[in-house]
Amino acid sequence: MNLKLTQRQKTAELFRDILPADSILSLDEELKPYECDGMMAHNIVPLLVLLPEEIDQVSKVLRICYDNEIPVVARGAGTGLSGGAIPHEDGVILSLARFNKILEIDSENCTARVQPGVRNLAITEAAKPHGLYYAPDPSSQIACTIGGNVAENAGGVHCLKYGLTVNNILELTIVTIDGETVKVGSGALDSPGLDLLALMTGSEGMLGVIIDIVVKLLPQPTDIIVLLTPFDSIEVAGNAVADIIAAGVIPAGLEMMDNPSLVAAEDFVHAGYPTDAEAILLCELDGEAEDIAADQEVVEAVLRKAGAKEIRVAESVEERLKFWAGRKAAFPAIGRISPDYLCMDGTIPRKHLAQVLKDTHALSEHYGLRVANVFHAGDGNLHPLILYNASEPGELEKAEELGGKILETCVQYGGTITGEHGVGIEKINQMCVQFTSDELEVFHAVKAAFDNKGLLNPGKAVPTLHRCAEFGAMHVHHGQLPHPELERF
Amino acid sequence: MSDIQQELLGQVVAAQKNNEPLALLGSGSKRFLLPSECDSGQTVDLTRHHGVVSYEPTELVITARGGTPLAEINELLNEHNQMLPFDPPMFDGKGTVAGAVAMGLAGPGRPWRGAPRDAILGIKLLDGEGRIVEFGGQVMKNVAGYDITRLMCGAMGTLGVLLEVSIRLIPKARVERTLRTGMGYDESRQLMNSMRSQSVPLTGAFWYKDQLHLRLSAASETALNKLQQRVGGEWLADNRVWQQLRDQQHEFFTPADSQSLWRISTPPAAEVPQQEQHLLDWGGAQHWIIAQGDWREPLNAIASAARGHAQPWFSTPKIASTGNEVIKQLQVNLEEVFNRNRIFNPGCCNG
Ligand SMILES: Cc1cc2nc3c(=O)[nH]c(=O)nc-3n(C[C@H](O)[C@H](O)[C@H](O)COP(=O)(O)OP(=O)(O)OC[C@H]3O[C@@H](n4cnc5c(N)ncnc54)[C@H](O)[C@@H]3O)c2cc1C
Ligand SMILES: Cc1cc2nc3c(=O)[nH]c(=O)nc-3n(C[C@H](O)[C@H](O)[C@H](O)COP(=O)(O)OP(=O)(O)OC[C@H]3O[C@@H](n4cnc5c(N)ncnc54)[C@H](O)[C@@H]3O)c2cc1C
Repeated sequence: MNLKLTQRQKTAELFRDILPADSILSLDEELKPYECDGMMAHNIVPLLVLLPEEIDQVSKVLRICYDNEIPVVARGAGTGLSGGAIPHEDGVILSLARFNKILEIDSENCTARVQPGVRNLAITEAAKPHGLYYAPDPSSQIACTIGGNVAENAGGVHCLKYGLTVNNILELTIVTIDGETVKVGSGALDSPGLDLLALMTGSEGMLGVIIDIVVKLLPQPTDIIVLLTPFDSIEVAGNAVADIIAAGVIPAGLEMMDNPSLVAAEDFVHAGYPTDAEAILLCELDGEAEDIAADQEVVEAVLRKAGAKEIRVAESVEERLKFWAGRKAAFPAIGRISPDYLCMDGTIPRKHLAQVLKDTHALSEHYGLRVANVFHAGDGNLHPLILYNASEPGELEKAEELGGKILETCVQYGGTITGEHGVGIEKINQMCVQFTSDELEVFHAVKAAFDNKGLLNPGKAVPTLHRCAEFGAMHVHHGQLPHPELERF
Repeated sequence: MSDIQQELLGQVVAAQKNNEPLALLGSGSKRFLLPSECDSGQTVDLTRHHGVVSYEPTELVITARGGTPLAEINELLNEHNQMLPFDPPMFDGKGTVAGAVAMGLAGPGRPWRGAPRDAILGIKLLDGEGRIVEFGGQVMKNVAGYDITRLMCGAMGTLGVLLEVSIRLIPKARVERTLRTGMGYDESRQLMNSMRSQSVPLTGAFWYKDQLHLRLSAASETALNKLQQRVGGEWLADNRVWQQLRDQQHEFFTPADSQSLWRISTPPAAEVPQQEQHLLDWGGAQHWIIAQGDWREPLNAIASAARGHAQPWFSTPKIASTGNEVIKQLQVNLEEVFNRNRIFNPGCCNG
């Protein structure tokens, strides 16, 4: 303990010349809030927390870390669900919280230049007077930062039609681990050179620190409608999703909740959900009124054919927002009915929705833990929430094992272990299932191309080959089951 | 259909062992336009690695071998009323799907429907170490590992052979029509600027010789008529002009021998002074200019004043010309990962 204290003080000294005293946190009670992120099951006390306010300070901080081989974990709002911002015990947390300014709204080019610590929703609020908005809308949008969104390539309920973070940013300024500041991308629709903008997006703080972002803004749609459809079988609802897309309609949002999650959400925010339904589907259509009407006709026909008995159309803006409020509050709502929960994030081809839900149900029974399902159905992005009680010995481990099995199921059906929350530390073992050792080696080499000393967020996102050997997982070739002849669960 | 993955693997392993570079070639439509050193090395004909591997219309995804002609893919998608969102140029009709991805090529719908980077979901890559590796996949959202898939878009074959690509598709619009209206350059730019921040069903907008063409795509006729009432102009009998524009078969794209064709890519509202021979596409973000003599300096100046970049068509510079040393070093480092000893397209590389 004393050793740690000395190490902490010595490290703090390194930054005294470049940062004011209130930008260096080193007391136990100051460090406490930074011990974990939204994953919460794991805590580590960082050596220090640094809160620079200027790009030049960030650059100098990184240079010092580089020269002294100190690990650096960048941090936005700490809402990440995969443990990406969990500290390194011998490293510093580089908080971007003070970079919270919207620098420019350019209403002619439809862009905004923002600092990384700006909250996602604040961008849309600032763009609103210009008739514009920022499309990617993670459910955590009131709290999460745009820097964190870029680092995770965050999605949201409107990504089906408008794309993920990577499709909605134009330019980034990054600071490299040795303190160099560079721009990637541009305000034009293409720029010379490799697409480093794309590579940085979703890189989980492993390749560089994002310090300035130009995002694309979209015109607010003239009209919006939301249909709420209850189903008495979750499989039928799953199939309806695939049918809507197949009919040639790309809704602005297409979300599904199963009975446990819709009941929890209803109790929490009184969204008006029918609590006797096995599942509900929320379908948002946007654009010109006439276009919406044409699409609505197609969607309603598909829903009825799929077996829907009732289709409710939000009658007012308030009702529409209420429908969405339930969906957006689904995670905290589950938090009210279970002492703890783990949130999974697999993505699968839409056509396997019903089957994967069945498999998940079987796994849930096998492990004796409840699983509630909330998901971006149109994208095939599932969020099974595993309910457990951390104070019961062994239950966290059991929940994590169940979570791992669910993700492996996603890979077996041709999907992926993470659609938008990132790998962090949470899914690091399942990376061994999804990728071959050659592929993992490529990832390590790309990391080294940016960070040759391995100081940026070490130990996250990509497992060592050694770890995979210990985990003993079999790499599952995309979409091919190891033993297709065996009946599954 | 033909699969020459094993043969390609053998070629790459031998090239690496003997340090003999390879020139990756799709249909070769670019041959005369890349710097000649790009073609140095033994030619690898990738059109022989060809065929659609899987296509499920209901999943809105297609997976094809790199050498599959775009024309073949488009024909198949047409049957199901679907399309590649980035609608890449086919030029003489021979371009391959990996060639379009490797060049990052997108058609007139680019500002609204995106580029290859926006639609690509996954790749199978043969890299310079002779590794056959897969990144991304066939699902819409995937953030496991670094985004190697999108890194390949526009990399001009400097990071390995694209054996297969998986691409997200979109349904074709139920109604699509072209509106033409007489309008000067400045007025057209203003109109395009104002429409950018409004919800209108636009998927194409180009100006040429005092005429503005707008492509409108929607689910119903009513939405289109509303826009016509506002903008004026007449409906064209068909939408052929967009294909001509995309494939550079439009009358504008015929520079005389003493002239050269340039492309300037800028933020969409950026001011670029009107030139004598000028076509403005992408709703204001892509300027095509036919220039007399050596216009490199003046066009570069115009581009940088508009916060964009100028590029002589018919001769693509090296992959990077950002001029920034840090970026250059990062690119060299990445080449080192995927293309050690620069066995692929050495003339296009930084290192
Ligand atoms: C209730 C709830 C709902 C959620 N819903 C969604 C959802 O719908 N969709 C979705 O995609 N996610 C969702 N999330 C997850 C989370 O909000 C996102 O991943 C978000 O992008 C994280 O942003 P943050 O600012 O909190 O980042 P943090 O958690 O602080 O950091 C996340 C990662 O990004 C890195 N990082 C942060 N800032 C930077 C920077 N400036 N430069 C470099 N690296 C950086 C960190 O090192 C870390 O690896 C949800 C989370 C919660 C708690
Ligand atoms: C007259 C004319 C002028 C043009 N001028 C330009 C120009 O100036 N700038 C520009 O950007 N484009 C230009 N193009 C477009 C472009 O170069 C090609 O036409 C387009 O790439 C078509 O692809 P292809 O399949 O014929 O590939 P090719 O033309 O054979 O190759 C295009 C590039 O992709 C790489 N490539 C091809 N297949 C693979 C693969 N499987 N894996 C990895 N890499 C691969 C090649 O190495 C090469 O770098 C022009 C086209 C024409 C017809």
